[in-house]
Amino acid sequence: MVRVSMLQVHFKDAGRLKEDLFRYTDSLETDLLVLPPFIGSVFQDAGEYMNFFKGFSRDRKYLIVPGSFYEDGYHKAVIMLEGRVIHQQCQTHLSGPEEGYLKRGDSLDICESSIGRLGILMGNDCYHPQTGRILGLQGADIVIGLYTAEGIYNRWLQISGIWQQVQQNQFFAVECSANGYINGKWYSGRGIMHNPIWDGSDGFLEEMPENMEGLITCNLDFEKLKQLIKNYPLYRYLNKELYRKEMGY
Amino acid sequence: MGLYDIAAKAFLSFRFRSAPLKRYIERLGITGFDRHGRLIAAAAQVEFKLHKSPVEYFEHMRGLAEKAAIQGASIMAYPENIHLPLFGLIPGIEKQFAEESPDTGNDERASLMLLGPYVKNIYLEVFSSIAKLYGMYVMGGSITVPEDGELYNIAYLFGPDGSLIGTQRKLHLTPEEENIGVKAGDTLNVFELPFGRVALPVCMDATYYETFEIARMKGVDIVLLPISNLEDYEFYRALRGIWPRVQESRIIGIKSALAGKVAIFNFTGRAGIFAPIDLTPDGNGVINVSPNYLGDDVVVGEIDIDALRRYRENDALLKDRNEGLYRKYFSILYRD
Repeated sequence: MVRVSMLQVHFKDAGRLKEDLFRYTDSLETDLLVLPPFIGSVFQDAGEYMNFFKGFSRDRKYLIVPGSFYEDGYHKAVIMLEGRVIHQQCQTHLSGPEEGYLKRGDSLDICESSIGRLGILMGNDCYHPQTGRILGLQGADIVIGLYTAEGIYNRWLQISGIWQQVQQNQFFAVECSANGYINGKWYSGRGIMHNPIWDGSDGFLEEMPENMEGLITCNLDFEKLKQLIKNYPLYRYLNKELYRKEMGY
Repeated sequence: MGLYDIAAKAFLSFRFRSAPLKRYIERLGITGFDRHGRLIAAAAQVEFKLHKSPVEYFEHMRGLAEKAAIQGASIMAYPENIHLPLFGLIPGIEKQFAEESPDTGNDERASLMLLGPYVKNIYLEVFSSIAKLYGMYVMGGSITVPEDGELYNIAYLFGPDGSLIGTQRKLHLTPEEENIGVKAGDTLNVFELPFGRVALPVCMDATYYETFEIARMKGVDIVLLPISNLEDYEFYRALRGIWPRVQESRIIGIKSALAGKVAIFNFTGRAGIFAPIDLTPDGNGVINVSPNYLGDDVVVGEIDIDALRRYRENDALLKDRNEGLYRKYFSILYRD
């Protein structure tokens, strides 16, 4: 079993965020902690953000994905372990408005860790099935989803993102959403721990309603995942010949 | 060919003879239906039951078509494995269905290879006639039959004059199909109809986003998807497949389902018509869906192809592509 956690909080300033962070993670026992996207926006710049989270991560034994931040024209997220950045991901797909001020990342890789192979999907990447397939075919075991949907919450919109990626790629996902006013825009989304559907499960291991604050933790049962893939190995039936012919890759 | 084979084929020719069915159809008097100039689509949910004659099978399918036509449908979809109810023509089939054999792969393949031509003959007569009688485009569901010496799971599309417009071989198999030696197709066919472009992938093809990505690249407006899910019904389990594919690809999806329990077979599924979330009044991506996951039903819904095309022209998600990324990874990951 791998124990994963996700913290859903509103953040207005760095002070309040740090208070919440220490309060919620005090005595937390987990293997992975994921924080909401755009969390870097409450810090002066990417440097301050990185310094704080490197310090926060240094004394903790678990992996941390400290939300996301902007740097050098990219929307980025990292995976940290004991004060070190072990993986970095830039958002690879942009919404219409984002095209005006962001650059697209050109890589989508996975990262080996003590709890399995990890990958990150952020923002619009969640809606593009190519992204989950790229991570899945590289062997991702757990995908961290950083969900950023503007406006009133629509569950169906969110499910059309990471949930479907999990179902068609047979990996776990820890999805953490932006909530509240951030940079003058209203965001809403749920914190969801996903599994590919197996008997007795609907694919939602844990879920926190939009705009609530709190920490959710759950166990990812890799034995069940292994059994599911053994019983129905979806990738075995990919029609790669067709894809090469029709898509030209 | 041995005596047994000759006898079996003679028996099947008799049981699956189409002459009485043709005579029955010729005697039917069906008047025209008003379509009001709108595009109404219908998805059939067909209860799985074993029929004792081709006429009984035809009447089951025709009854659903009539409900669709009365509601103005001009295109209709039937489910995957729609040949299974025809197996009721084989004496003792209930007993065979009730028994789980330890290794039936080769036996099943042999049976399907033998039965295929007879099943196909009735199937073509039934759905071609339904299309002609009601003046509808009909995707008659899929049947597993031999073609070119191989077994394929094939869906067929008929025009309002009863002509066969085209076919689609299933592109992504299940472990059970692999076990009996079904072969996957290698092309997604697209059919240009007066109101839009359609494709007819089959069941598991909708589990793989690539199918709909190819359909989108080929300008498809409507996907007609026959399914037969052999599993207990659960909402989210059933939501996988066409619903997320419609959201990604901005295509209208029409799902027809085989639903019912016979012996060890328990098919569940709700027929439905799906559209991108932004084009559905409740913001849930559903135009209409059956309230039940068992038994017969006909689900209809109006489709506005012009609105769909306008939406796609301005859609940020469709424009938002990272071709360099796809090429970089898929040129490696799609290699065997």
